[in-house]
Amino acid sequence: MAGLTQADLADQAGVSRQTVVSIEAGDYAPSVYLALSIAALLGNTVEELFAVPTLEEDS
Amino acid sequence: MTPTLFTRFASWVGDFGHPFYDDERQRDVWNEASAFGLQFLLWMIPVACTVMIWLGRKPAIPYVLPTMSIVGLGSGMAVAYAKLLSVDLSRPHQLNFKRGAYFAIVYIAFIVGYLRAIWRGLDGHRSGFAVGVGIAAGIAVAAVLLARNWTRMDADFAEERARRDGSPDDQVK
Repeated sequence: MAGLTQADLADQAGVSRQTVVSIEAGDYAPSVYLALSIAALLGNTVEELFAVPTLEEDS
Repeated sequence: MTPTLFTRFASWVGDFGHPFYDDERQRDVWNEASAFGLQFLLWMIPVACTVMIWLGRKPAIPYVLPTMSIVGLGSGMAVAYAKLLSVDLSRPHQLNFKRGAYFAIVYIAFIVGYLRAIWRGLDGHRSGFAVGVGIAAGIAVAAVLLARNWTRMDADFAEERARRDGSPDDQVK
């Protein structure tokens, strides 16, 4: 999206590449601070990057 | 939270200032791994000490007592650290009574083994007997305090829930 590799994104967000991989795979839910940081680096909003589960999906 | 001597000590022992903790996922995973390791030790060390006291009897006492004391100290410090950060593990609705029962079986087996060891080797040495009485008295006092605490916390929890359920501000509109 922003022309960043996973390693670049990890470096700039101050986390490991494995953390970025886990977030992408949906295996790890980041904190609000990290989500905001990643969204800013990618030029998106948090809502665009992380789908909010709907009530139907929950049930 | 204002740092205290205890939290500084915990930070030093846990090496919380290490850059490794800057990555929140690594921190979360390591926290889980540490919890697993602590729980594993809380199981395995008492089991090993129980086996030692039953097989080794009196000569095993100088080894198993300090080992069990260290387990108790480590466990107590973990609970105390959590409580300092407002996570109270002694609240009755946060306890897993089934797991607690398994723990109790191991610890009771240890105490019975210990008492058996000192009864067989009393021959004038009263210090072992005094430690046995001390352990039993300590457990009894802890049980009474915990029961009293639970009763009070249960009442507080019920009152808090009743207040929350009855408050129109908290209802979904």
